[in-house]
Amino acid sequence: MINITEKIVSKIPKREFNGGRVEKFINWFGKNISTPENRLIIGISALASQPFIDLYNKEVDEKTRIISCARTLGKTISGIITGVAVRAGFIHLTKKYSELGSVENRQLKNFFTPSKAPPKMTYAYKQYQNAMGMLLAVFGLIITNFAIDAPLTNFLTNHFTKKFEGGRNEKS
Amino acid sequence: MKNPSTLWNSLKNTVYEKYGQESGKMIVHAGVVTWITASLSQVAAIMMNDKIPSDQKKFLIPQEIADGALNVLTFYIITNSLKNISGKLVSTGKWSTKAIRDFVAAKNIKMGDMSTNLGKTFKEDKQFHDVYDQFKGGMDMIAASVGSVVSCNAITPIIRNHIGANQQKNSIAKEQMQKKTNLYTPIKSNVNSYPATRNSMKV
Repeated sequence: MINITEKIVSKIPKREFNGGRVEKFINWFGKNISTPENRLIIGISALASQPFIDLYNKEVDEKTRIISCARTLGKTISGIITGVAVRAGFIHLTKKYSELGSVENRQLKNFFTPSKAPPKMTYAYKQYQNAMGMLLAVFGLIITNFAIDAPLTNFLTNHFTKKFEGGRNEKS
Repeated sequence: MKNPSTLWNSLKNTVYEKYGQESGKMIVHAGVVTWITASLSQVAAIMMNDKIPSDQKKFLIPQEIADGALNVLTFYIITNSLKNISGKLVSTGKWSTKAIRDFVAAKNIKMGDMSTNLGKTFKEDKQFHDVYDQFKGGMDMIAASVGSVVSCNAITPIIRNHIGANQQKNSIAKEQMQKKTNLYTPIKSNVNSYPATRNSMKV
């Protein structure tokens, strides 16, 4: 795996950034995009691509195509809502209770602060807050996947199926 | 045995050391776990949905299982590979910013050489890491985001639809075969068709 990576990297041309737009964008992306935003990016691009892939799937009959497309829409929408909200919620919670300062002086506000934390905010510490929040969000997502995602997907699937089938009947 | 407070602190320190400088790693690891649980819940959702006809469920359930397995597999392979490539580009100095080059200039380091590892060379230099981590983190996040979009929204749906369609065809064909077999098999019965006659014959 490492050899393949090295082979690919050796073929990529060298680039030296000098503070231009691309470098600013890379730094901005690293600073501002974390797991909730990443989930949102996946969700929005899924809405733009997956329903059409399902709708034009010639390997199945029309009815299956419609239900499959409706389910993909339902699944993606419910996934965006719970996925982004749970991730953002837990990251916010972690940030609130991982203040920097004396860890010996144990308080609720530094409940998530590790003993190796730097004295002042660094990029690595910001990433730690995101990572710890995401770790907690995984447990939250296990619950919400079954408690919210599954029933909401069913509700949305049935709603979209009805709409699509209504539209198809009107056309014929 | 360690007390809960020590365990909790060592967990926090592990997360800080493991993910603090590699933000994209968390996206990959958390993504794999959440795709597995999300797929399980979606299979449960299809099974619980009474409004989906059984013929369509025969497509949707294998489609969902294939979707989950493929999502995990392609997500991990593609996202992790892109993240490794972006990480190597930055750690070897093949892609660098002016601030990184200013730090490196004082030392005799071959930028772009596969054996170079700037992160390790300047391990103790906090000022260097303020500049380097941000650039590497940005590259990591871009690679992770591009990888997850390509794997989850282009590759997975096409392959899972193909797998789901094949499974549906097989299930429907099997069911039709079963129906035909049942049609030609005589019904076995232990019940006497004419019990009254039998009783009346008894003397």
